[in-house]
Amino acid sequence: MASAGSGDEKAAAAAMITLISSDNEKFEVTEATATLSQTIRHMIEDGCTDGGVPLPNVTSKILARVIEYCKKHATAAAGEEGSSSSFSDAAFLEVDRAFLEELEEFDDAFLEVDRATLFDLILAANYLDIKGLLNLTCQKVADSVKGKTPEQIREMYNIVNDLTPEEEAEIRRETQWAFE
Amino acid sequence: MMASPPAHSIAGAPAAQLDLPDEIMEEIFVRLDASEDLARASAACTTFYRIVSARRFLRRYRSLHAPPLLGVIAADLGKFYPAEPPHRSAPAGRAVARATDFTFSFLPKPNFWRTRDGRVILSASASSASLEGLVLVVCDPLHRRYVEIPPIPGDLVACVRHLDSLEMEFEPFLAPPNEEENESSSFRVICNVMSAKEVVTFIFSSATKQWRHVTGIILTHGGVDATASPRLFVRHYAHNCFYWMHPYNKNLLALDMGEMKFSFIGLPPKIIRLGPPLHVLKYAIVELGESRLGFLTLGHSYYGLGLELYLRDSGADAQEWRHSKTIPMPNYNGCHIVAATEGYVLILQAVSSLYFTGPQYFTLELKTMQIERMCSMYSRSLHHKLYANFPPPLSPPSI
Repeated sequence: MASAGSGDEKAAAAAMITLISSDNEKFEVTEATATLSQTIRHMIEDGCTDGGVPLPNVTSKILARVIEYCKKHATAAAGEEGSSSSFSDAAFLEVDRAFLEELEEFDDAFLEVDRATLFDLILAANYLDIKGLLNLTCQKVADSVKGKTPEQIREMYNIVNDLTPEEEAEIRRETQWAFE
Repeated sequence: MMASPPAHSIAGAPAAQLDLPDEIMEEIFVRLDASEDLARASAACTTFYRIVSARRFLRRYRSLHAPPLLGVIAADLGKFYPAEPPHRSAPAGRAVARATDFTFSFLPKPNFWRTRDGRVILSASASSASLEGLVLVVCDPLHRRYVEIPPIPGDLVACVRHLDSLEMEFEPFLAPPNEEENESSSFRVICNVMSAKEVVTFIFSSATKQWRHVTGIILTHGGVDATASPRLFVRHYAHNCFYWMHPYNKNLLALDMGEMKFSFIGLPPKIIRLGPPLHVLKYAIVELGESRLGFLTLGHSYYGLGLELYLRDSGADAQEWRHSKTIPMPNYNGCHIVAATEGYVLILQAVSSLYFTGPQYFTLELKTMQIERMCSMYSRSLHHKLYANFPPPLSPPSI
């Protein structure tokens, strides 16, 4: 049993998982990539990934982008682990910095999407529980409203102003300090 | 490199509507560092306002973002001095000054109270010769709420130790909120009962509504001159410890809030050589970084050219103080360190300068070591407190 156990672990390292989008497209990914999603990690732990993981809330278009993100970040994580044992401290720091810079560039390019896609990515990150992706995408939206007035925010995100004139005047009076 | 489509490149795509579940909107709003941005976003629609003004959200926001410094609570005057332009908190400071009742007129006998802590603890100003006569109230002047604290039971004091009631002093102050208290509106009040020789400490919990004795210390063990008045203690807080300076003591008195134990910590040798008596309003104990304790001193006229910063690791097995840096301070003569809180130090420049007439108050931000003018005020007392808070509607009732 013991030797069989260690063999299973080795197999697991290279194991592939099939993710199925809402429009029935299948994506083969490594377990390392898939487990950036806590939701999928739990499914694997519970042993319910045979025959693929259906993701009825994620379209193939969005799932492809999410997998692109997870692949990159899973590689970066593996690279960091590998390098720590084979480089001197200075060299390791150098490699580390290069990795981080490359990752940052990737993230910046990744966020160059239209707003509808950005919202879909947020919803997918939330559903799949991918902390890094949720942080990245939510921060992008947060940054976009910095320094903006309520009117500009409404226009930017097509928000209907459903406040009554009285409510709006009251909130405006209360938050006047934020407009000076 | 992968080529991503630039934003807004899809011709004829319907405008994206920000129609995300509340929990995700919270994730976005909590990432707005500036409270001004959060307040403006909340004014966009009813949903945004509802999410932002929810108590649960505001507690989470507060746990991740330190509230801005808004002004100075003058100790004995019942007055609040908001940050003045061009200080970046000036608009928020003015708003809080308008919305908050710092005269505490909502208390039963408002003239009878005096501020005991920067946040919200007040005590009666009557000569409190006995513990039973000590009237304490914790209040939230923004929401005009208060909670009366029952007096420390006499038998509790009596069975702990004999204290000469004629020379007793009381020092009530609020304990720093722990995680549990951050989640709810409960709080703890600490009261030091001091004679010239010793300190006995009691703690009141709003959850149990009970006082209990927690610790005490004999001051003479730390080299305090027993004839000196205990009144001259100045309290600072850093890294879950309270610290007191005493003009006739070579040691700082420290109260560890985790272990609830007193100890003495030696002052930097250069400082000891200046005293006694040490001018307690020339020093502050501050928190720097994750685990470092800072000792900040204003140079005496013959010593130093500004603020001197000494550092040591916090914790029991910490080493000696080491000099870290000098922060240049124009016109450091006639300056006093009045208070320190939440990453800021309040400095009074009592003499007029080329630029300002009258006493000026400055803040030193510890993260950046930037000195910024806060306000000017005339006051006989120097027991002022810095006031940091989120302006309404971002500040739910704290009690």
